Amino acid sequence: MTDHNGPNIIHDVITDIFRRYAPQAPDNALKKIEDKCGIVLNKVSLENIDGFLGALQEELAGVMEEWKARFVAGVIKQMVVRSIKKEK
Amino acid sequence: MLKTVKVPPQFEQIFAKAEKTVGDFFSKIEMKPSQGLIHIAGDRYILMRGESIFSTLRDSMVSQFGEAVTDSFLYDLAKTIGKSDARRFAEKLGLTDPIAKLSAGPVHFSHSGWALVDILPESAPSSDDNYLLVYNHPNTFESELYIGQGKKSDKPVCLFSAGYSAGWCSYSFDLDLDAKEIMCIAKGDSDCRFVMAPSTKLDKRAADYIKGT
Repeated sequence: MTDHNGPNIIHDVITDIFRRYAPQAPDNALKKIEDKCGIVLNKVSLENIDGFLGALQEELAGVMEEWKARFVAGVIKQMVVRSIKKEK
Repeated sequence: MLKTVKVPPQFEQIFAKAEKTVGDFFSKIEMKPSQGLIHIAGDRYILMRGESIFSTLRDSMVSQFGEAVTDSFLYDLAKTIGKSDARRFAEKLGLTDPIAKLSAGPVHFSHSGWALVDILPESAPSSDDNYLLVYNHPNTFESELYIGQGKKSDKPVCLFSAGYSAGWCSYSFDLDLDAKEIMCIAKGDSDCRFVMAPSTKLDKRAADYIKGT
């Protein structure tokens, strides 16, 4: 398994993907997602993860093709779930 | 004497049985290029060039999605394939005991060209939270290809090997297991070595193992 699973790493992953697809995107892409769904990354749980990922996918779809946005959101979901399980 | 897997003495008998059964399975390979078919004991197989999977696919994904997303995806993909293969083998061979299900995995792994498996004596596979498997994978296709490109990695590269073995054992023991590669030939270590434990405990088990070695 990879070591890319803690909240800090996931923050970096989300920031990296936005920089990769939209170099002009503001560094606060994650904050926009958090504001949109009302959930901060550190408080994402198994109960509210779909709300967070929905907002993430919506933002991603603004800078990349729809299938890529769905793919990236799906992979990030696995990473977040693994991180939550590990923290228990 | 086992030829397709290395295990501690207490597991030799059960793995010898697996070696025979899985060996018989692979002896039934039928390659029919005139029909575009490869079957082994009735199951459809495909041959793929290792480099296409390891380098071409990975590099393309890294350029599009970054290393973290790529690594996580490839690990999960391999884990899913490992689970599926383990289920199919257990059903086909009528295996019910967790250790018996596990034993087919490493032999299948070597016959399919992923790598050899060398299970180390400190391993204690069990159907509970104490599950621990420590193993080397000599000749992983990933490390061989990486070194063959004249490169040296700053991190382990054998994601398919880690994911596939974790998937196979998760099915065998009905546990959510993950594997972490703690040493890798591609980064200059002597072996490609993995620690496998329940997902929630893996980081601690790997850290404890590293501390104790």
